[in-house]
Amino acid sequence: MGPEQDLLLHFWLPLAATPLALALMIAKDSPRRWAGRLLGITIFVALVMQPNALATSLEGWSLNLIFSIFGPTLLAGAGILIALFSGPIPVAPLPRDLRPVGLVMILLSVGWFMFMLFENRPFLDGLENPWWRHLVTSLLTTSVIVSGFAAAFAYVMGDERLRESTIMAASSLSAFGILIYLLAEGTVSDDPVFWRSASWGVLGDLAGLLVGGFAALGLFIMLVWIGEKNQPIPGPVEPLSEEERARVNEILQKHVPEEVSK
Amino acid sequence: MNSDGDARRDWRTLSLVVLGLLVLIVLANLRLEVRGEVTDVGIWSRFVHAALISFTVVSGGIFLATMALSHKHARLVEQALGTLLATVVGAFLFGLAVDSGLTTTGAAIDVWSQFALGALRILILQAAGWLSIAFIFGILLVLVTGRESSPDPLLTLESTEFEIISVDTESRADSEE
Repeated sequence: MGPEQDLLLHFWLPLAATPLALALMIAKDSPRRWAGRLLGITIFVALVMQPNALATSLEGWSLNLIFSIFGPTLLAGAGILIALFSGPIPVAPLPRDLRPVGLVMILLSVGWFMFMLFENRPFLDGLENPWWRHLVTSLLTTSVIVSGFAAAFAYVMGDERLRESTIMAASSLSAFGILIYLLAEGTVSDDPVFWRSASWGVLGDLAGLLVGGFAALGLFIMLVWIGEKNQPIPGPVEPLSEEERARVNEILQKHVPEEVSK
Repeated sequence: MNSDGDARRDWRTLSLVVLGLLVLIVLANLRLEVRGEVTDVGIWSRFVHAALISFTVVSGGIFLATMALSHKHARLVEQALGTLLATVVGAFLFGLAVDSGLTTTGAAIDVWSQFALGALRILILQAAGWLSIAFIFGILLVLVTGRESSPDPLLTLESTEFEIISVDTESRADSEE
């Protein structure tokens, strides 16, 4: 097989089958759930067993990017979970002393990402990952918006959440500051011009993603509405059988006896 | 802070914050674009490609999920046919756009190369978006749950109890004041 067929079989086909696998995994009947799990494992194996070197295609570079950010992402996720479940909440299976450890892990993950950004960007076989700037500018742009939304959400919806809102606003401003710094100064490995181009392109992609994605969701909602509208009027419901009637009476007698005796 | 529970006003405020931030980022980028200090990005073609690919991929994903979750009692003809048709139309429009010369830089100008590049771009963007949502709201959850508060008397109740209870809300409100 040629490299294009390999990519089709080991990247695009597994990617296209992912929604099918996820939907099968959450199905109610057991055979479908098992089929979903099997498909999920097949997808994972197909993605991992790339026959060609990752540095030879854009698809391979995107996988390399995922492997590169796996460490800080895992550290941040574990830190958030540890800090959350060792806090003063009703369901807290972890000891309270672990909370600072979780917070330190979160800070370390941010530090790790910053180190990658300014000192050691992902590379393979001596080549720099071409998706890195796209990921960083996407991450910073969405972080500015999501943090700003979180700050406003905590302030507007919460009760005396000034401290939380301030931290979220600071996080939004920090992300914006880093983005502007990259656009103005760049990094050791990348000239600011490339960062500007990446950021400008991401805005076009983000706007398109939102427009196209919401248009598809809107269409789906409309289709569901049309489907519901076309449903026939349900016929009369069968009366309860003797057995069902006895069971209902039993439950009512147990919980609201005064209502049954009326 | 919200005291009267006007949900519409609250969500309008939140939407304005998001829109304001988006405008802020666009302005910062626009200033640099006007100064001519960027390479030729072709933002318009990137927008069209991202919109068409996103529409096609989301419709296709919903179609596959609909097929996977269908069962004998579900009447999903409209959803299944509609989403399949939307996927085909999206792919057709994308091919038409590329054939008419609306291409982006970074890949060969044939339809498949352009689709693959655009799809990778939006997949990475989407991954970044989900990562930032998980991280930011994870931190917010950690901060919100970190506050010590007086125990809620309702938490002592068992969910399996069907006894009718009365909570003295007036005296609780007085004591809080």
